[in-house]
Amino acid sequence: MSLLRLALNNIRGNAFRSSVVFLCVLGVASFLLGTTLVISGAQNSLNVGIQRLGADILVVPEGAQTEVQTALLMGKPTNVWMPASKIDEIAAVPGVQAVSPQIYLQSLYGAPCCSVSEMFLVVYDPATDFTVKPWLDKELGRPLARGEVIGGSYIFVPAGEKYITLYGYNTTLAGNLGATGTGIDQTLFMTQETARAMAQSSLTTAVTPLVIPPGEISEVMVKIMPGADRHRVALDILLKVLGVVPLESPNMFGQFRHQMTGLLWGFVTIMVVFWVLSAVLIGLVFSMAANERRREIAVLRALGATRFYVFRSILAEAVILALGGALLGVILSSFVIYLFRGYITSSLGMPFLFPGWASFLGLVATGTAFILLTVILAVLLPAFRVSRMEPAIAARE
Amino acid sequence: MKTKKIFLGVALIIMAIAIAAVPHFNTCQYHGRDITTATGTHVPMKCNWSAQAEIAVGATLLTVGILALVSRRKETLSFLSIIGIVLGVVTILIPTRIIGVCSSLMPCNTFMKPFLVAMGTLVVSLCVVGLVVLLTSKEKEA
Repeated sequence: MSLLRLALNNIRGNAFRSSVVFLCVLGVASFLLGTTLVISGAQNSLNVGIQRLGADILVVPEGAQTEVQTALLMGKPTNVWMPASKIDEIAAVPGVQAVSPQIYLQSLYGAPCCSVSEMFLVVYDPATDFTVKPWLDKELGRPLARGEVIGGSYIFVPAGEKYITLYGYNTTLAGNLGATGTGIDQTLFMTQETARAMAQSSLTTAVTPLVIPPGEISEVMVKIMPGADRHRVALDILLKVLGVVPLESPNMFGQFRHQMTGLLWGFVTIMVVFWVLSAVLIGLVFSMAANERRREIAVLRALGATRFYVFRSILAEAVILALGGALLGVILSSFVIYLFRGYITSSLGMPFLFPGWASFLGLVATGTAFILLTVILAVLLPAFRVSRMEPAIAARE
Repeated sequence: MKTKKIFLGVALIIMAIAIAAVPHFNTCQYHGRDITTATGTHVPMKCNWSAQAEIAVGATLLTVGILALVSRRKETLSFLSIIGIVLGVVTILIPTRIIGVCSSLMPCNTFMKPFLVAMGTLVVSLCVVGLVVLLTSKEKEA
């Protein structure tokens, strides 16, 4: 009888024992992958979101830091203003290479062109912009014309329509940015020319006209010179330009990152407790099974099976159960997390972007290897003890 | 075989009740969101109709579960499993294709739709496994 067949027969022979080990492994695997996916999904979303912002430093009006970060992260409405004169003051700070203003227009609620209930309108300056332009150069190969807009992944042209109508003004969706899992996904970007045309049109075509306060902006995107110290530049902006606060892009969403770290440690603690308990339970189950099967093992030894063969047969049994449980566990948790990603985002209050295939498969492989190692370690001692037993003594006992 | 039959029947009954009941507590209307017309009339959104349709699917699945519990013949149980598979697929198709739900980040899209997809997948998986077990079993009666 081959080793694999013997192991499979042993699994079938004691359904209860096998089910306990299988379920333990399944539970650990699903919890392990599930929590890792949620945390890495949030981290992935943050990184993609910060990358999409495309600026080294964001300068926002004093007191509006949290508001702007929440808007960018979770898509909460915001309405912040500062004088446009700040642009020149920021540009004059040593180490600043480029500055570009952006204006947050009034949020739209229940817009038919957006698959979420709130949509943001962000106006950029094509003459100075360096955040939207790289995407336009790559995807469109030209700047946005008057009346053209680009949207986040949640923005679409309503079915049966040719345009997205905003404040009674028809705009053409020139393209969509990739998903980030953050508030950027529900943002519509347009040039100042389009925004002004829309505001002008809204006086006669919209129920509530669009108002763009003259000489006001919402934030300034800052690109620093190559080799310049980002932190130093940010400090200089804080000291030299009054009424504004610089947000360094790697440090953005700090409050959220802090919250996420707390959550991560909570998950890790639960996971370690769960993991230790499962390893002990699996070891105990195999230990009991080994004791029960003394006679059977004695017969095997009497028939010529070596100690190593007995040892390997018990390990093979554990590996089969571990692989089966781990695979089913990772499939189940990935399926559930993928399906309920929107619910997780809204209930945990964190952005979420499902990791790419490569990192997802990496997570699955690491998780499965970790589970396999755990089960092998838990089974090693009982398998070793039973394999060392003398056949005559084992049969008599 | 009897234990497996009872397991299939009870599992289908529990899932049928969940499919029929849970969506009603997760529609946009239940969470106070509906369309108000110019005349002030409140019109339910399409997730509400998906939830209503799932009652019919749930009721049929409940009947299938009860029949699976009382049936003895292997052929009958096999046919009930096939009906279960079809109902599982319909459970998934109602919120995703046939009727649909509201837009992203609405309560029906974040919970009701994934819940129905998960339940539908579970029903299909259970019935497929049940069918395979029945077809490979040598016993004539369950």
